[in-house]
Amino acid sequence: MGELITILLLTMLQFATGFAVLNLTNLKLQGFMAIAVSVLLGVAINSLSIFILILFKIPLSSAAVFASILITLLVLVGVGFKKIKAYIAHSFIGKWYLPKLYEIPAIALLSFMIFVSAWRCFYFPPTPRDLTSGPEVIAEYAVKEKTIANSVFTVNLESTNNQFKSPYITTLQVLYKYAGFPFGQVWLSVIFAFFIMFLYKALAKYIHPVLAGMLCVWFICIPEMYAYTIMALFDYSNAVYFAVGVYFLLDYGISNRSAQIISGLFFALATYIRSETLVLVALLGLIHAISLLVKKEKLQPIFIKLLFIGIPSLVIYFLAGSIYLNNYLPQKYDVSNLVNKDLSNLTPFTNRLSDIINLQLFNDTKTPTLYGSFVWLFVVIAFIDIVLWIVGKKYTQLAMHLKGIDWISAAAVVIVGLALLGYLLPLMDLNNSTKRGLFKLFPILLLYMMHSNMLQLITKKIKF
Amino acid sequence: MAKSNTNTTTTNLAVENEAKKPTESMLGSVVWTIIAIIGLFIVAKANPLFFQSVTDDEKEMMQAGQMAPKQEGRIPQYWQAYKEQKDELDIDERKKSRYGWPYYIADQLTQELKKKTTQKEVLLVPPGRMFFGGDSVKQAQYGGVVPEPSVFYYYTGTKIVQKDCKNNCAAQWYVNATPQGFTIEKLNNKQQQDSVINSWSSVVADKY
Repeated sequence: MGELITILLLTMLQFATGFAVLNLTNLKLQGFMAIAVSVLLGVAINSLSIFILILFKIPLSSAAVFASILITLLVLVGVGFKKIKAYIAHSFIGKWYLPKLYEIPAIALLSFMIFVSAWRCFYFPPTPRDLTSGPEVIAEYAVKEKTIANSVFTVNLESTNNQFKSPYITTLQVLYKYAGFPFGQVWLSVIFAFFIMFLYKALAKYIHPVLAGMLCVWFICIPEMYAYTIMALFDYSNAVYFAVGVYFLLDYGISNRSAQIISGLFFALATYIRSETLVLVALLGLIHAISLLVKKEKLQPIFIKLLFIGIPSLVIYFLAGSIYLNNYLPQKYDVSNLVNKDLSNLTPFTNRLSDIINLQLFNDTKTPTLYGSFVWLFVVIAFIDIVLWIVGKKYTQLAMHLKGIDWISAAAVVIVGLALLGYLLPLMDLNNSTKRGLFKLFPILLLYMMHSNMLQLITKKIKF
Repeated sequence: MAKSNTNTTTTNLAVENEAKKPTESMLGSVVWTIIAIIGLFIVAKANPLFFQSVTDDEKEMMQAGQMAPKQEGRIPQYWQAYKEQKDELDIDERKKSRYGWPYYIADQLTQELKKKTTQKEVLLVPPGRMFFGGDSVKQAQYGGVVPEPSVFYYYTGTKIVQKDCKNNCAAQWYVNATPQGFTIEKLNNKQQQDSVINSWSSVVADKY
């Protein structure tokens, strides 16, 4: 019971922190969508607050850790204090509604699946070797020794480079261990729950909530992704922050500066979690700019949009990926040895691209527990959408659109980007790094479905 | 519902408004609820890895070989586990059940080392297979891999080195492992350490 109250209090704190950021950007979000985005922001900002303690070499005592997240909250609220009352009124007053009868079955099932995952996440100790040989052991001794540069670095670490991973997990583990969770980890369940809330609300904005609920259940049933809602590691969080960034990039108009700031912020958080995400952000920016040029948008606003979504990621990349690694850890990490020296040979790139498509996404016979049937669900829906788009004008009363094409482009960026990363960094193997990197693909495929011609047609046409 | 026609572009915003205001009639709600239940049932059927349930009778029939093996879905499996786990909250038990043999052996070795010395000294640990007399089948049955030094340190706070160590490998103690058990012995110098590692190499080629 004590743990439940603690998690509720921490989540409320995270909500307040994230909401204060939304208030500063003045992004118009309402009800549960505002809550979901706020909590997701809040969790990552908690991590950044503790990361700032590390950068200023302040001992990681429990007092310092909790003071850092409270001070961050107060500063964020203080800066936007004048308008926060109006923002709360806009976001929440009169924006509440009880779930409709037809939403209850899906919400109940989603809640149950989240509970089962959250319980195992709470119950079992951190498991993946990538965690226990790096971020988790560092966090465990950071709590004991009050520093991230602790006795772990006196152990023989020849068998691992996980001590050089982003401080994202280590900082959150420190926070949750201080909060009374010996295994930490439950921040992952918070991210999972509020991400599903975000996806459900995003989908239900355009398609019927019954369809949104079914799609969210199907999305949770991606076996490999569900496993990583139980076992803490970087990739699930990375996929969450990347997907929310893509949503605010693609679903809001070019003149919506607030959405661009939030998109840039989420991309930066995804880059903070996994530094190589910077490559995907750059590729996505490029493809998005081309898409806007095709739509005859002016050059200057496109350029400004790219700056807003790209600069935060660049800043955090140098902060967490370069300054932190080179100056705050007792060991040096020679990244130059990890980069492919033979860039003229493109075979590793084409091989990886082929392996991603043939072995990972569409060959589930060898690995039936990898991604389940979700990819096929997407293929079927996208195929019907194309057919509807071609014949729709003739045979239906609806004008079909191709808005989903932006989402398919984003999905292609993830696939090609991961192949490119595998080519640039040979250490990124297919069966671990790339496999988990593909988590970023599935929320994008899911969010494509909100712009599906077929699902929007069902939403519009089926009336009782 | 707003009317749309082929001459006007249906924007997503229009559809958004539609989705925000689904049919409100009682009958409509009930029909959509039935659709939701049927739809979720189909989703569950499409994802047996998550939802497939196996009854006790089916389990018995599978054990007796009267029925083809059927994997119980994760959700019913995890729910069953939850009902047992909620009464077993001891931290160490949870670690033991999750980590298995690697945690067990790390814990045992640490306890034995503490009997030998009160200093924070380094232990040279043999490959897991040595604990099984070189029998790789038996080792695999137990998941008998000795954790790498960082994980060993996480489990127990004990610093270890392994046989393939390249730099800063000096250890003060080593583990003499046999299928019957193990003892912890003093290492007096580097030559003795090399000699112990060589004796392991004759049994196990790799570090596992």
